[in-house]
Amino acid sequence: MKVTVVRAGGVAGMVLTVEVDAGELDAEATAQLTGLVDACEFPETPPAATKGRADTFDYELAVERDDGAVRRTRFGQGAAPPGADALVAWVLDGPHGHRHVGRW
Amino acid sequence: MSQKSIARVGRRGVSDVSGTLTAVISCRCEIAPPSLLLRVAERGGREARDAALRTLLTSAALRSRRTALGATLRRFGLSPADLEFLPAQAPATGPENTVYDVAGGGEEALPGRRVRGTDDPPTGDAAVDQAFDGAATTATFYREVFGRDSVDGRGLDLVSSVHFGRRYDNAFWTGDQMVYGDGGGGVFVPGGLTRSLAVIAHELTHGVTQFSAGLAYRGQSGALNESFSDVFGVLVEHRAGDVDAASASWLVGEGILEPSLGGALRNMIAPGTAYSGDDQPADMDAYADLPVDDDPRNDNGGVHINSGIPNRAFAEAARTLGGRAWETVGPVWYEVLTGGRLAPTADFAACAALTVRVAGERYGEGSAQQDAVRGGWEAVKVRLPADPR
Ligand SMILES: [Zn+2]
Repeated sequence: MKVTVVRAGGVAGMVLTVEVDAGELDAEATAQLTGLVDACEFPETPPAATKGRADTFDYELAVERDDGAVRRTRFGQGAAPPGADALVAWVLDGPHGHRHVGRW
Repeated sequence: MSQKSIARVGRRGVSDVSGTLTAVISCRCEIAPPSLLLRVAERGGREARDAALRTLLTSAALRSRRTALGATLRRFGLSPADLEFLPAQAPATGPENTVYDVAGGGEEALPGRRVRGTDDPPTGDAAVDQAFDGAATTATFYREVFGRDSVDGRGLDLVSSVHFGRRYDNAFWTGDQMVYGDGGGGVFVPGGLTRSLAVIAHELTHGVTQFSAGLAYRGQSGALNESFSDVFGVLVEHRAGDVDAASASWLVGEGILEPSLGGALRNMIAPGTAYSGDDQPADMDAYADLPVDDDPRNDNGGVHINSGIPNRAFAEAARTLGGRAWETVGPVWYEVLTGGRLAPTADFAACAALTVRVAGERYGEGSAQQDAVRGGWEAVKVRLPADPR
């Protein structure tokens, strides 16, 4: 399983991509990640966003299972679907992610 | 009361009002003064009544609670719309300036605990004191340079919240207030966001834009919205440091990124060179034609990307003229933003044409200033209406 968070916008306007590969994690971290993914909802249509506010962050959250199935959701800061904030924070702030700054 | 009588009283000021009234005005009390003023207004003669009402409508205490004014206005047969004609206020004291500590909380916790008010001494918390000082410096800039009273031109309270989120690498404007994270999340150095006066003034200018041109935050109008924030963010810094346009760095947010990323958020004179991964175009040939969709990579149609183009147009014009950019090209950009002629969905070409027109109005057709503005847009290859000369 791979979990990828794209965070863009903000006053800097930077695109930060952080990817966590569950295959690289120990058992405890894998359990944490799996728990957070299972608790996260991936609505097709994101909740009514707070779009248009200047310099807030926008997010894309994607989970790719080992069989190739992908679940993806996009949302604005303050409008995360249930469970997404905790998963995003774990990926962005934890020590397990591969980080990349840049749009592509 | 007629508009004329309020305007007349306003020009005369409050010096000829009773001593009681003057004493009331000089304090920053919250509740008592309006009610006391109301009593003065009701008991006094026509002149005292006018003066008291004028003071009520413009006092810091009431201006900060305009939405709660309805009952007061109705006592005098006025509606909130009757306030619209009032001239912008430029009180010597400036707007109320308040900083809150949201202590790691998120949006639901805003604004947080009040930690510093307008007349309070420094707290010793650097983020609190920098947010306070930056907001005050920015408000002073708008008041002294352009005669604008706060973000909305009508004395809106300045509200800042610091310590937002955990290692939150951002600052933003909610539509009502400024919010600052602590940084330290891998993009900004810890404390970097409040340390930058340009960042603080950038955020407050989003408020100015909201209350003036109202530029839609998508595509070219969104890039203009971003650019005006960078322009005035940098001008506030220039004035605070008495920086000359000819020798300015034209960097926005210098020295607040993690050094491994780069030196600044944006480079206005050389867009695309501020940090590794900076993909701002320097002219229309490199314009990023991104869709306005929900993909965060597309940045609402490139609002933080294509802003490099109008940013450079401004910087080129200001550098050509040299001297104090806030006194040369700055007033042209300010009139364009706030003068009521720039549409909320304006594109680069419309904005450029208006800057050239305003420069002509302000400095004369064919003036050096107008030529510099024209040259700025030509440098970034934005098409202008033909020069009549
Ligand atoms: Zn901005």
